[in-house]
Amino acid sequence: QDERRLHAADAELMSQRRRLISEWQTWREQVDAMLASETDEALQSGYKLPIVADDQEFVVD
Amino acid sequence: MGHTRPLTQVKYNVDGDLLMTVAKDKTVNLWYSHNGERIGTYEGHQGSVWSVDCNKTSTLIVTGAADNTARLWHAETGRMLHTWELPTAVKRVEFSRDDRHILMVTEERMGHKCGIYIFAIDISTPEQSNEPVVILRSSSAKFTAAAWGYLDKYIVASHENGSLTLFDWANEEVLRHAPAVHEGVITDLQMWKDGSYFITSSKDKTARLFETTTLDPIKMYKADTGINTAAMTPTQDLVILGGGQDSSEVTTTSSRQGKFESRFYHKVFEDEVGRVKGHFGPINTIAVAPDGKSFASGGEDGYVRVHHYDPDYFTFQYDY
Repeated sequence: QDERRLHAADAELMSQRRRLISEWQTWREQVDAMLASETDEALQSGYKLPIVADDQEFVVD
Repeated sequence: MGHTRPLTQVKYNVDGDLLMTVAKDKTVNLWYSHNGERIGTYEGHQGSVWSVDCNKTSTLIVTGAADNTARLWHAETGRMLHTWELPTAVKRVEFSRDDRHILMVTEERMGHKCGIYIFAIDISTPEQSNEPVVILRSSSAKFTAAAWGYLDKYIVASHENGSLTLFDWANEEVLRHAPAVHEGVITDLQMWKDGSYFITSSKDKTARLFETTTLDPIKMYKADTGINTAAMTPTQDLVILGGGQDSSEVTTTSSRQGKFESRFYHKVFEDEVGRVKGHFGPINTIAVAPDGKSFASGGEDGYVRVHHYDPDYFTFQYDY
């Protein structure tokens, strides 16, 4: 009986984790879609992220 | 590797090869993150240095300090390029995502209200404007930290009374205010790499995730001690919390009882999955390397520790 209870608790925990992961992935997909759309808009209106490259040296003098 | 006084912030550059550290010993140190070799020390501040950041090309470093100044440094030579005079101590500095602005969070003190000062940065010349583009004021309690949201559209600020404010900074507008999301002082605020959500830590013994545009709570991580800092790992679904009893509350010399460990939690499941020892006093600041292969912690003990993960860490799969 103890073993059955342990199995049941284990199954419940796994089920809960799958649900949490699924909820997280759904939320993340929504956020990614929103970010993609807003990034397109921002780039079209002139927003630029810096280009990270080794040859871009800041000149002090 | 370390400082002679408590650490206040540690931060990696975008490439992850450099680690910047600041402390109450008034100095700013730059290190190679892979071996802890010190590259240089930036001297000039006349008080505790509270915060540090560098631009995406790692050419410029900005620092904020208790001497009521923020300073811009040439990273490679250590030359101080510019000093901004603020009304009070500068508790947090951060380059915007496009490196065109720097935010500076100032303290509320001696009749001066706290503020988030935003200065434009001109990378073509060391000369910088002393006139802020915008000053954001708090309609709630003092600011404790702030960070840029995605596409530099937003700034999220945390407050001493446990609340959060979302600003449309360019229009000087408060978009949202979330009161009492923590039951204590919010001690740290770090954005996810794309700026879409962020983590806060608090003296209320919790850390929490929030969505940037709504300030809606997403997750909560519970600890048994006040939390001074919280960071997210970019490659694994983990968050790392650091804290421990304040020195005034420590009645034992045992580091175990002082709870001075870095605590790992699963980001989605919220349960604690491990701890890493290493400090002899509270952990004040944690940063995770951008490649997710290591993290750095800075403690009240004056030490900076860089932890490189074992290979098992990258292959570990959570059971679900």
